[in-house]
Amino acid sequence: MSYTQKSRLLEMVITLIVLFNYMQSVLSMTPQAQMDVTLASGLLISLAIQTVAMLIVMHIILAAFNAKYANQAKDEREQSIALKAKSVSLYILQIGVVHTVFSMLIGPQYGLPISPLHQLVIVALLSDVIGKGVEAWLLYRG
Amino acid sequence: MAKLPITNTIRALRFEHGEMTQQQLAEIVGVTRQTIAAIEAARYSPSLEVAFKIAIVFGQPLEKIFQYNR
Repeated sequence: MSYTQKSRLLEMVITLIVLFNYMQSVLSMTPQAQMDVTLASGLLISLAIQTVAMLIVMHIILAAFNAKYANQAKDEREQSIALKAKSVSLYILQIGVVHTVFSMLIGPQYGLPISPLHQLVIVALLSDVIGKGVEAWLLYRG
Repeated sequence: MAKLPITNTIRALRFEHGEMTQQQLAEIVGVTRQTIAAIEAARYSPSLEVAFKIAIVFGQPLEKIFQYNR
């Protein structure tokens, strides 16, 4: 398994953990609390801190065990795979944004118990998870 | 994954050059070992730059290493 592949897999796991934590916090809130700007910004800040801290620790550990490859730039095949994965990720994000706008237009009749702001954050995290998963899979497949 | 129409003789050339490993070739060319493995298995077509670098390593013209099968 290459260094890039390991790092993508671990990044995917970290983003998944952050996504589940975020979803748990959002789903435990009442609809009124979800619309509260202070609570939402606090949640976003904790999400950013969690992600950055875990990514830094992950990269330090990974680089310590793979010192030879840690500073190596991506080669042309890895770059083309990253582009393909990014396009999948952006496609998921587009669908998510359209879905959020649709749910905003329909309003409270729409069954999803999550406010549009949180829906957008969840979709962004989900698209990132899927993008990283696709990249790891394409790197594995060759 | 489907094989590409460009095949190559890198595997044979590596063995002719003192049983060079994929890792050694990758380090000379400046790509990862996985990329060399993918090129050898005809799952990835390298850029012209990488193809020329491989040709220089083996001291062969490009068309002796890479073949286009229609």
